[in-house]
Amino acid sequence: MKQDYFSSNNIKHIDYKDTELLKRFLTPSARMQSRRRTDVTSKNQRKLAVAIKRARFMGLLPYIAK
Amino acid sequence: MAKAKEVVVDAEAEATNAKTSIYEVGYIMVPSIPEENLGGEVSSFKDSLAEMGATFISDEYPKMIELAYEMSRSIANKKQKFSYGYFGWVKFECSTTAGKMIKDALDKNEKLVRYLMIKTVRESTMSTKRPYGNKDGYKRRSAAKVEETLPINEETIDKEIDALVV
Repeated sequence: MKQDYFSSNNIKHIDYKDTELLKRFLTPSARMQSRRRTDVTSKNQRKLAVAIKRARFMGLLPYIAK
Repeated sequence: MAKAKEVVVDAEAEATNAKTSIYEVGYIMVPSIPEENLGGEVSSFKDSLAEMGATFISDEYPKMIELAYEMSRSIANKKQKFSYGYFGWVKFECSTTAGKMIKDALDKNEKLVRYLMIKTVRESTMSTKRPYGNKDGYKRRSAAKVEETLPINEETIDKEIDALVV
């Protein structure tokens, strides 16, 4: 069983500006990966989703990649 | 009785005014600002926040970035489209009422293409550890490279077949 990336790296807050980190949890078409693929806890998946949505709003990440 | 109630309400209002929060404003400034004037724009932006009661904790000087998609914003009743912008952020502490005032002021600021005001924590939220695995993340993989094949030599093929048969 895989461990939660954020818990194992002691990341308490997921920052929307940390795009290199967020990119890891996106698919090639820039969609968010499901919890099944990310292997993070429900709580962190929710935080991750918020961070990705914020980054998208600020134009740091695309909504969709062609 | 009514007066006593008013006093209680006033005290509550004061208590909420005194309540402070940590906010972070991420902003994208219009790319039309020349690089040499950017410092002045940033300092005037920060001064306007400080006037409304913000106490700065940390910030990052804006830098030109390519936006992930085209954004539009109406400036002086004219819709403009932006593909680039100066992205910066500032973290500060202020009262909740001042936070609302700051938000209203940012809405009217025509130097900003877009901004995002969020509640956050005092310590840095940027992770120091770099992610492992696919660094490109969402980027599509380029078409599979065709492996270069060596010219086929009949003699070597015959030898290999013989070796297999034997």
